[in-house]
Amino acid sequence: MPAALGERAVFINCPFDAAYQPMFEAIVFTVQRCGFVARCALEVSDGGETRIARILTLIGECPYGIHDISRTELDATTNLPRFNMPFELGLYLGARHFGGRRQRAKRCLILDRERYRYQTFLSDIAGQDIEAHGGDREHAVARVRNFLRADPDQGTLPSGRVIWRDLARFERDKPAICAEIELDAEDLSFPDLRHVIGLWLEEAA
Amino acid sequence: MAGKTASQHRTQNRAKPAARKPAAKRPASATVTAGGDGPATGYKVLGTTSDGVRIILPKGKPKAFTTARLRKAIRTVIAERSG
Repeated sequence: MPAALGERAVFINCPFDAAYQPMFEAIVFTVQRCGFVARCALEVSDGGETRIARILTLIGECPYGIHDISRTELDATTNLPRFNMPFELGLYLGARHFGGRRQRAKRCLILDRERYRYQTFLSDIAGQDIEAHGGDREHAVARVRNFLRADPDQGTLPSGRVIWRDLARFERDKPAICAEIELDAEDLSFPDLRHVIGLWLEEAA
Repeated sequence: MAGKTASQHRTQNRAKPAARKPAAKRPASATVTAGGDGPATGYKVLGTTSDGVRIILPKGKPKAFTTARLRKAIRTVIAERSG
């Protein structure tokens, strides 16, 4: 299993809309609180290289993946579903299947609202590590923490309860921190959010 | 037995080298590069939490603020909260 510090990148594949933002932040916070690096398609800009090429590079660099496939509703405006999450999950599983030694060591956690709901819309992923968060952030924190803890080379990690408590403290501080640096707490870019969480953890956790 | 030469005296009187110091702790700004068949990517150890977890970020600077300014803001908020 990947143990080197530089191989602690976790690819987060999830919805990026406002409704999912609290869950997204909880997952990013948990990943960083456990000593891993959160990465996702939001750090991919559309300039130059095609978006898919950059996402493939990102997937190739991440030995861990967290894929939330819970967003199955139709978009309220377009009345169409979003296929990006199952698509990127497929790319990740494909990299693991067809890649070299390092890619074959990839591990992934698939999250949904209910544990066996995927059988009705994505049954081909049967046999993967699929967990339910029930739309509950505290459950998601525990699932992500347990997934990262399961690595045989992983040392001690704080419990899900400790991470949840730290997340609550962070979310209490975040608006004031953002006000101090004249940023909108609800509109941080992903790289900036990662920095705010990282430095807060260093100072406060 | 013949007397020692000046060179031998100098060698004998030379102070013993100090005991080897343990390896220095990795500085907070150290970077680590991923190897293997994936593209190399640098990571930076920001620091360590009180329970020993190393906080890691990708190399690169935040876009909307400086790290120093953010750190100052965090310390201010934590100090205010602590009363």
